[in-house]
Amino acid sequence: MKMDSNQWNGYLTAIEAALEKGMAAKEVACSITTGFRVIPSLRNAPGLNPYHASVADVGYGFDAVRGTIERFRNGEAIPLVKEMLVFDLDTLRISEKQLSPNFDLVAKESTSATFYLIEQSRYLNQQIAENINEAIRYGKALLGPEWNVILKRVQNIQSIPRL
Amino acid sequence: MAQKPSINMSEAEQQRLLDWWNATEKGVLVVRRLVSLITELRLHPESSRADGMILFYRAASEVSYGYAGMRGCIRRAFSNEYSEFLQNNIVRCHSFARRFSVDTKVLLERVAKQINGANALLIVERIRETLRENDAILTEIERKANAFFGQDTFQSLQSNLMNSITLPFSQ
Repeated sequence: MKMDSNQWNGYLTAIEAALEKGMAAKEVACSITTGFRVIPSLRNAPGLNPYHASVADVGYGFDAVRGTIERFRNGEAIPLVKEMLVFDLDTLRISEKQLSPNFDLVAKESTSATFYLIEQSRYLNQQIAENINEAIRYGKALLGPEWNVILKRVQNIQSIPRL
Repeated sequence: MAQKPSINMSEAEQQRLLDWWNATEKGVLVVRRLVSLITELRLHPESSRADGMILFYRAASEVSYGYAGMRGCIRRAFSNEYSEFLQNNIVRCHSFARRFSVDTKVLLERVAKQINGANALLIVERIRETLRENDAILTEIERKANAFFGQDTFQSLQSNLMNSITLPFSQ
């Protein structure tokens, strides 16, 4: 089944809108996480470094997907455009799942003075998760059965160990 | 310490903070293009196995994080959370973007050494250009930060940050 360019555009717009909704949440989450580095009870908490890395990964994914869509809209011919979208969207799914276990380790060290920052982060992370899942639903709708075929191929790159 | 009372911003300060925000808007567009190009390089068969690739994209993810963190701080400052704590926070996020941009550039050249394919080299060249644009925007942001804090405060915030990540003299 071939999709016409109007339909493509519609789904791309929906993906962008989902990520746009999560952008403010992502930004405030990054700001709060940086703040943890100066709070004595949290700055050396186990889990903070991997949590920070996952937050940064989520940020990378949000920006990469939107950057790819913007390049595509500007008329750039990107041979790997579908692979890039599937790769970054599916990696977002993985990074999002890594947020809470490490965050929970950090939260254990929280005191009453930092309670609101912890609670706010938890709330923002939930919002980010919803927006990621929404963007992935549109991505899957955009590519149909091709999504899984492409995913199998990009998994070779996803499986490269990372830090 | 995180809940110290918020500082009120004057109208002039709010305007200067808005100028800072506007500069980050440009930065966000550049960073999106940057990381999209990096994803393309990571996936491209001519470059995906290059040495240094993992650290390279990790460094770029911290550049994206630095911008996002600055913007998150500005959002919070405008919703009555502006405080000394937040001042330190935003300076830290900016320094993140700056320092990891250096790492990204260094690592890009290490990655580029391993690439022979013409198509991947074209992507590398575009990443170089995008990183130059990013540097220019970070310099512009520094000017906005200077204008917002005033030079003395900005310098003392920066030196506080440096002290906080350096081994103190032993007693």
